[in-house]
Amino acid sequence: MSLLDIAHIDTAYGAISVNRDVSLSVGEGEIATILGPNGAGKTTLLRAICGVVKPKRGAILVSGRDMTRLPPDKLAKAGVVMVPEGRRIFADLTVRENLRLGAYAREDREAIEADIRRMEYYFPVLAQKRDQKGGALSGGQQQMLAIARGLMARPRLLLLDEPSLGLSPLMVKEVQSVIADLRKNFGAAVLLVEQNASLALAVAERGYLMQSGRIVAANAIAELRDSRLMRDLYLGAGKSRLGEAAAPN
Amino acid sequence: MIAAWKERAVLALALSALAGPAFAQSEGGVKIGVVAAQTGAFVSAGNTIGAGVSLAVKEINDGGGVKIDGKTFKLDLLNRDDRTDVNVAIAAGRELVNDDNINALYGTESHDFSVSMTKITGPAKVLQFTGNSSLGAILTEQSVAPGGPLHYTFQTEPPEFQRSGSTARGVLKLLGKEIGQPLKNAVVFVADDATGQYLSEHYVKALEANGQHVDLIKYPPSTTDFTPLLTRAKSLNPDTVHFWYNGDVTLIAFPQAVQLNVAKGYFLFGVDPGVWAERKLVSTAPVTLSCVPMCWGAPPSPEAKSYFDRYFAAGAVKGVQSSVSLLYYDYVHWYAKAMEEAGTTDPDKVVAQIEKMKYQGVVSKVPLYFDKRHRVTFATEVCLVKPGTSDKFECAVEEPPAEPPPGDNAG
Amino acid sequence: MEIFLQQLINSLSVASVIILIGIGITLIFGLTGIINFAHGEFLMIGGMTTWLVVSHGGGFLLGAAAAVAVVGALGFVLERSLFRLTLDRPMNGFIISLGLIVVLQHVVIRFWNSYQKAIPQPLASVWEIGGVRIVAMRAAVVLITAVVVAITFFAISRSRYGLALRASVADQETAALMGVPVRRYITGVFIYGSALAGLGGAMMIALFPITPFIGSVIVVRGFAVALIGGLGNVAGAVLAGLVLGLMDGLSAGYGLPEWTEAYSFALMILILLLRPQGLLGGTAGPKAI
Repeated sequence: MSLLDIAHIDTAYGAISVNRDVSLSVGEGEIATILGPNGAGKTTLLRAICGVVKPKRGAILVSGRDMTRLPPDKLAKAGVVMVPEGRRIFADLTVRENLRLGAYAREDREAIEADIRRMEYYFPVLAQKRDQKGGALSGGQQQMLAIARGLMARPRLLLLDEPSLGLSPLMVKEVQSVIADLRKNFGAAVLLVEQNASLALAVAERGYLMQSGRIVAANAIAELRDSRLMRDLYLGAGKSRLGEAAAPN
Repeated sequence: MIAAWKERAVLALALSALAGPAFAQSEGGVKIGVVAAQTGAFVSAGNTIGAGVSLAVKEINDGGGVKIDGKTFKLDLLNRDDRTDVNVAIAAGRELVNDDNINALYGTESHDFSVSMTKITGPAKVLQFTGNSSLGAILTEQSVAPGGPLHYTFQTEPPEFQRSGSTARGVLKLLGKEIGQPLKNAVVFVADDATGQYLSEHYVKALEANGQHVDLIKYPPSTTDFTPLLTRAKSLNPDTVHFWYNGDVTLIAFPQAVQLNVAKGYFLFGVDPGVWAERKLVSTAPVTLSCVPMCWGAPPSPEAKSYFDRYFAAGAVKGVQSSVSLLYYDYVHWYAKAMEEAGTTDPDKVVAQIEKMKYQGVVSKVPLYFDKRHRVTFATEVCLVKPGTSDKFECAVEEPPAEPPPGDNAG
Repeated sequence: MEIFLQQLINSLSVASVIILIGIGITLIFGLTGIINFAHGEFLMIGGMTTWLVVSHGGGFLLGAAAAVAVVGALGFVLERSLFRLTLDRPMNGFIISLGLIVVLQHVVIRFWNSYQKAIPQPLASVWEIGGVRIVAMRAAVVLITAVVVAITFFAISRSRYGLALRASVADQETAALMGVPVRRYITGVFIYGSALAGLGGAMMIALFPITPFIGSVIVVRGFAVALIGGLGNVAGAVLAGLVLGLMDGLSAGYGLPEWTEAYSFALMILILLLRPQGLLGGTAGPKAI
């Protein structure tokens, strides 16, 4: 029994099938990644895990408990928190208010205040801009805010959807080091969805390759990195290339 | 009254035995239609028509019905709500006249609706008894003559200049006495719509004919907060303020006037002393009220008191203008009587009979009759509320002026 | 001079009633995606409830509390059964609410007839200061409105619930990810706005008699205030209410009295042309979520 177990998940939007027979797992404190090109169904899978999309078939278990088809707030309370694609921070709320909202599902008032100070310590830019509106931050700063906001929920598993999207190489490096330290600083496992293979390969311990909604490979990162499948996926004709930022899923 | 009818019925029976067969009438009974505002802004006046008519119909039917030519006919009442909307009124009128084949229509009390209704009732030879309004101007000797478009139409209230005249005189007399000073400046509040325009035209002239300088303030009909307009009135230094619209609106505006201390005395149109007492209203400034034709809260005759007792006992609500019901009550009895005297339901013969009759009902101490323009004349009761009390009234019955004041078109 | 001061005081009083109604509408119309044109009938029912309680011997405060409770409950029932089905298509909510207007009016008429209802003034005193008359009950309404405004404003800007609400309005899906039960917040705002309508009704009957038909006039002014101030913006509703109240008072006092309404509407049109998002800005209103 892992922290997260997904078994034979099918998802669809209306009649259009997206994911087929997806199974994977993430252990306590592990950093796992799902790689794949545009339109592979990675984001849809994450949305199914955190409760926004209801799977047509299959099961989602968190520490053995069946959480399939429960709404997002139940998943958040169980410790599964999503940092959505494109950041989706609340532009009209202040940085502080964004952080506070991340802790919505929690009840321990004083600990929430302490955690805000903690976030400001680990992400100094949030301290500087604490009373500014979220919309005034740069892309990279917003990504930090989005991750910090997710962490405010004290997640056991953080779902990161394409955190490198639209960021400069410098910012991507920063994000990378934040993700690498998540287990150390916050005790959270990570399920990272990325098109930027070099970022994913640099931080993850285990990886899954997704193509056309299915898992086509699952292995430890080192194995995956050198596999033929990876090269085909990323260097094949017409597909997005290793490390290139691409349009959202 | 019933004894007198029996006499006449026997006579009619005898006469009809000599005359030919009666005019073919609708099977079952004589159908009476009512179109009035049972909901909407004019409910306080409209609601009373149906109630008054239904009381009369019940009394007649309980007494055996209308006796015509040896047969008795029950009266059928068809009641329609016009929702204070002219289109609904017209549709209801059409339905009653064309589909239900009524013999007579009572209503409406909303101005400018009545004129539209005559276009439906006239051609169908349906008698129409309706309140005064812009109708008054088109009731002429030619239009009500046989063959004329308004031959079957009767106005249930005196020409407005008469009501305005008797009211103005009565109000100024009572207020002048109570205030103890000569009254010079008057402000009249009226809603800015057809009703308001019609009513105020005559009342302003009547006040001026009684020596008053008049400022007229017309407000949007949906106003609920009158304080800005009342403050404006206050700046004109009025001796008296007259609210001349429907009773409901008056009772919203009047307390606001008292709070602002706008004038020395007030007149409230369309508010019966009965409602004043029911609501336990009190005013430090003298207030006058008027009723058409007489007040249910201060009935001036035993017959009127008896009528109102029966009217409310039948379940009618004690409203600001419940007295209007009395008019329609009398006109239903008058119609029934006219049919019995004419010995037929034939509209032409019945109209001719009504034109000849002097009818003694409850409305007036002297018998009512329709003039050459199908209009009646009767007095208006005006009451003063003793300041500081809820139920002490001093009332007078004012006879109407014979001639309209200068500048008045006598409509 | 006292006349002018009197008109200013009058305007404040007019404004406070409009603001009370406008806040409920701006919150519902701006933040929940529900279009409820029967909001005026909610107010009428609040007034009728107060009348019922008072005419059976209860005190005014009890009547007002009953009005808030009854209309709040009515809002809850209608939201759960009808309006929540229209969240995907707000225009359907609009049509439904038009039907609701007729239904609510006629239910009231059926049981309590269509005649005017009144209660004795809860506060009867009138103070005279330097020629200006201040009616105690109106001052009370201004005070109550101010309290309601303060509570609402601070709840939205400072409390945890206000924060979650603002987030839900900005980005419903992401708010849900944080664990915010968005549908429950919509219901909550609708109940709050309805309860405010109930309170407005109690205030109204405390000031003057009402009939079952007052709803339609009131609701138009309430929507005007909500739109002019900025949908969902409490401070905007206050500002818009003050502006309209002032316009009403001064135009009635110094303009052509028949045109009182016209002046207010002209002002509204002007504001909306120059600043379509409202004086202080707000949401775009109901849209398919």
